[in-house]
Parts: sequence; structure tokens; C-alpha cells
Amino acid sequence: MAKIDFNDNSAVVIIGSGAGGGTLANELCQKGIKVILLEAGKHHSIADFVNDEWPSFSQLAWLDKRTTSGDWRVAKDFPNLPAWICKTVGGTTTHWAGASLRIQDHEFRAETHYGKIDDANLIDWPLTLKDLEPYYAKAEDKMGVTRTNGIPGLPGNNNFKVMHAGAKKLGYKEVHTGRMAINSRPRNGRAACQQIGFCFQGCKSGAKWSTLYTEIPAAEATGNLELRSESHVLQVKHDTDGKVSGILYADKNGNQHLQKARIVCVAGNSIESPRLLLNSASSMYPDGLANSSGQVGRNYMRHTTGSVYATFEKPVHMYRGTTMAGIIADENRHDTSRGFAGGYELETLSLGLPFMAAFLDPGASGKKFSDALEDYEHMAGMWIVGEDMPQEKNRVTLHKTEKDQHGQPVPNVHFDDHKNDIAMRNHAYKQGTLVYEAAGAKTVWETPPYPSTHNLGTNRMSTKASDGVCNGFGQTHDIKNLFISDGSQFTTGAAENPTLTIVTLAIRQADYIAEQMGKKNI
Amino acid sequence: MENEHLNRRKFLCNSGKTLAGVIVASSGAVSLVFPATGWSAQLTVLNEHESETLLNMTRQLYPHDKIADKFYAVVVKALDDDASANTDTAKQLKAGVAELDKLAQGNWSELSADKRETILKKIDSTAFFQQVRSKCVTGIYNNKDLWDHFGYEGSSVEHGGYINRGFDDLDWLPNPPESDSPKAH
Repeated sequence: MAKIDFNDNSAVVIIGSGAGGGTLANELCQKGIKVILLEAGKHHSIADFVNDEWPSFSQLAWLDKRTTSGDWRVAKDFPNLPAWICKTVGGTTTHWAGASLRIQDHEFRAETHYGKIDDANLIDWPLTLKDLEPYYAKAEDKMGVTRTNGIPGLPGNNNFKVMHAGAKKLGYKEVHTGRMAINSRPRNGRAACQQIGFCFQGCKSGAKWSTLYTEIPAAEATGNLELRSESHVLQVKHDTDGKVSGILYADKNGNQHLQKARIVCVAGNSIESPRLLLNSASSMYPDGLANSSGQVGRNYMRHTTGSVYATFEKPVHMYRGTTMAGIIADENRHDTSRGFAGGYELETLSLGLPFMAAFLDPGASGKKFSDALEDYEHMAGMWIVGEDMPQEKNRVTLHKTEKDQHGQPVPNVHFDDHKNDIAMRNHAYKQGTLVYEAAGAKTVWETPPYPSTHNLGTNRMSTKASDGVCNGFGQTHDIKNLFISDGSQFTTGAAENPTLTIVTLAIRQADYIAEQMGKKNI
Repeated sequence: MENEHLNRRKFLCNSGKTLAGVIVASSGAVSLVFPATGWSAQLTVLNEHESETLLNMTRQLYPHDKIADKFYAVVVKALDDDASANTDTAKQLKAGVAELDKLAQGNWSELSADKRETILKKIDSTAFFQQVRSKCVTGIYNNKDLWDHFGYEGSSVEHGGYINRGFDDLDWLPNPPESDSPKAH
């Protein structure tokens, strides 16, 4: 591993080691570019992961204080846990379920395709599917996505069998075990899936792609990477010309260090990334870095999620095998006859008993709830992933009084559902219910959205500098050597799980950064 | 009402054939004792009435007929531990029990199940209620000794996952075609 001096200003500093940051680090290192990769969390290994929900949550989740506001139920049930994302080397790629779907062509042109929608801050992405296709192909190969590159699909588990039977009775066409970055057979030195379950708790077989044991060690092997874990970045610094010059971070002992940099890439997920830019305000940039548009922290999206769980006469054992074992893709189209713009996916999901008790109906008690859990063994479940509308008022801001362990203002996450979000969720609840009823459900539960796992949009890309924070390469409009490298650059949310697109954008961004460095533009 | 109270105590003391559990109060110290299971716990903050009320409350919140009182007593013990560690928590628990009794105009535990439920609904937004409720969620459903009861198998990696242990053994619905669900490699 490289060792780079605090005063060395030649390296690219990347903040965050998840899907965006971890991938970008490897791509740059492979091109011979020196990288310092800073991660706030600890460096765990596969051996540390546990098949036990609460202890795993304590091990991997980002638990630094956050606050919430808005009409979303998360603000009531989990006021200090707006998001279920990770603080660990590998970031949320340790926790993600593995679904790897390309965003559809029309979704990149949301404003054009959906037209004006009241109270939605819709614009088109500054790029098209055609621009991304070669990079999607590279990402799918890198991650080993099933049903691409000749890789067979995964075998469906019991939870999928229930979904499939109901979906087919209902007439759905595109129902299969999905495109998953989980090895259905050994590939790239990683094992095939053992159907362990506990995908959310860190994959014990390494069959699921995570930057922790793919991109990051590959980057280290080049000799160009210095990974600094337990290093929490507090501020991005700039020089008198307004270009970024380095970052200030706290190490595991709380000691602060100034690390110089040629380029800074922010990939701390859609809550921490805008928070960092806002916390970096200076006399030159009083509203925070890269915020001349005022859009930093705004347009926070989280997908129109929700779950449907159902109980059956006979056992299901939904928790056996992959957590996200299959998909119904028929509803991912844009078809306003359903009463909303955009579309959604239905994907199987299971929770272990401890988390089912916490999330099935947060705050609920009484006989109906207990009876549902009494039927846990007979339960099947699915998750709704749909496009939610970007709204300026849905935003990450700095808390006026609350400070974290480093004395930095904590983020507040405000979210109100858009009426399009509600219409879509209600449609999806109904369809999910029909699927399970077609398979013979006894009772059906419409479960409200969990703390967000798909956090998007708070430093969005835009063609015009007045509409967003960065351009189509994630380069901020205001500061040419400052980049956004995570899901916060998404212009709109689309209906697909975001990780594949985050990885795709990181591969493309690495090419752009290398080219711009070569031209001495940055 | 007095009979229900006696029955409740009798159930606690004599569930089925054997002595299931008792709340023992002697010179101020309260113990929860379940001789048949070998489980007992000494409480440090809650008194006899408070511990019995909370035991009844936990079962009322998450009723599972086939789960023994012992497992609800584990939640009461956990609440007592919290109360022991934090005086504000202790005050909140004691005040909460007092409030239940006040709303019951007597002993809340002695009311009918319906009346107990009505009173719980009145206080379900209080910090006391949420404290007890959230302790139940982890105390009952995250108790590994109860997972078998719920049909949850817990950690699987040490058994090689489910690839050869029934991840796809559901046989009461048609199997999907291989195009939708390929065979395992």
C-alpha cells in the first residue's frame, strides 16, 4: 500500500469507500494515479460479519447522530435513523442486496418524458443511456451481474417461488431471479452463493460484490492506493483561487490532520456528501462549496419504497437464501393511466425475526401484530422500489444546535412525500397484495418504508450550472477539481436500485479525471 | 375482579402441572423465580407491584399464548436493569405503573383484558409506553431462546447456508420454469 505525505498535493483524495468511492479509487489506481481513500468507518473483513441482525447493525451501520423532519413516517418511528447505510470500509456495498438494473432510457429524460409535474423539481440528466451503455457493460462485467456476460441467473428460493406463482397468476410477464451482483457460480476469485441469507449483514461467502473485497484490494495491489480507515472528513479546504486544495479529517483518536490534494472526490452517500460541502463553508463560499445554485442538499430522494408481507397456510421460510431473490419488472414503465408518472419494481425481500418485529409496523403492538409474527415461518415478502419525485424542500441541512463527536453540525434530513409518490406506493401496495392473494395469502401487511437505503440526488448533475451541483461527469460546476462520486449526483431517482449506476458513473468519471489530469486542466 | 387477580397470580404460580413462576418479595427485595426452567432474577429497582404490572403489560402488548411467562419476565428484568442504570428511567417506569393504576382507578392488572387494552391505548404515545414496548420488541423477538418457537433458524453460515438445506424446498406451489429460476450450479 502506498504511503502519501500530508503535504503531498499530487494525489486524488476520495472521501468514502463504497460503490462510488471504492470503484473510483480502483479505476484511478489502475491508470497509475495516486489515490488516498478516506473512510470514516472501520476496516472489517468477511470473517467479522455476523449472521445476526442487531449485532451486525451495530457493526456496520452509520449510527452517528442525525435528525429528521417532514411527513414521512420514518421521522416519527426512527427520528434519528433516516437512513440504513453503512460506516465501514466498503460502505453500503457491505449491506446492499445486489440488485443491478440499468436505468431506462426514458428515465434519464424525466422532464422531457413526464412533462411538468407540480411541486416536482424535475430536469433531464445531462447524459443519456447511450452515453452510459459502454460503462454499464464494464460495471456489469466487473461486478459479475447475473443474466449479463453469459452469467446464469441465481436459483430462486422459497420467497421467490411465492412471488413467482402469484405474479404469473396475475398475468405478469417479466418475473425472474433478477440481475444480481451475486455469483451464481465461482467467478473472479469469489465463490458462488451458498444461499446463506443475511445479504444485508455482510456476505459471508464473498459471492456478493462489495468494494471491500474486490475494488479496494485490487487498488491496493497497484501500489497507488493509501486507504485510511476510521478517518472522518470534516471539511474540504480551498485555496485563494477557489480551487480545492485538500481536506481536514479526524483520525480514530480524534486528532485532526490536513491532507493536501490535487483533486477531491466526495462519495460519502447522499446525506454525508452534501453535509460535508455545507460544513466546508468559507468566506469565499459562504453557502458551502459548489453551492452557487443553492441545490446542495436539495432534491433528496429515497425511492418510493414500502413492503408487502403476507402469511400463508403452509411454511415459506422466506429468510432462507438470498434476501432479494427475484423481481417483477412489469410495472417499471411510465404509464400515467395508473395515476402517476414513472414506474416501480417489485423485488422479494425478507427480514429476520428481530428486524421483522422492528419494521413490519413500527410502533405497533397488540394481538394482530403478535399473530403476524406468530406466523413468521409462513410469511413471504416483497419490497417496492419506485421513482420518487425530486422536490427542492426535501433536503439535507445542517442542524442549528446539535453537534457530532467532532463538533460538526449534524445533518437534518427533511422529507415529505410527493402526491405522485403516494399514488405510486398505493398502486404498488395493491399489486403486491394481489400477487400474494393469487398465491393464497391468509393475511397481507402493507409495511411502510424502512429508513432509507437508496439515498439520492442531493448534489445532482445538470446541464445548467443554475439547476444543479455538478456536470455529467460529476465535476462540480463551481470548482473544477471537486467531484461528486456517489448517488448524490443522480438527477432523478428512476425505478432501479442505484448501485449499478453509481459504479457505472464512477468508471466513467475515472476516465474523465484521467483525461483532464493528462491535459493539465485539473 | 378480585378473582381475576387471584387467577392471574395462580397462573403465574401454577401454570400447568408444575410451579411455573413466582414473584417473591422479601424485606423489600423482589425476585422473579421460575423454578421449572432454572431461571430467576433479582430486581433492584422495581417493587413487587410494579414488576407484576409490567409483566402483565408486556404480555398484553405482545400476546403469544404458547410463550411462557418466563420470557416476559426477561423483559421485566431488562427494564429493571435500565432503571438501575438510570434514575430517570426508574422514575419513568414507576410513574408509568402509577399512571396505569390511576386510569384504572385501582389495580390496572385486575381489570378485564378489554379494559386494560383501553387504558394502554390512552397512554400509547407516552415515553413510558414506548420504553416498555421497544424493550419488548428486542426482549421477545431478539431472544434466541424463542426463535425456534417462531420458526426462525438464525445464523446459517456455520451450517453451509441453505444451498443444500431447503432454500427452495417449498412444495405447495408450482416450481418456476428454469428460464425464470435456473438450477443451482
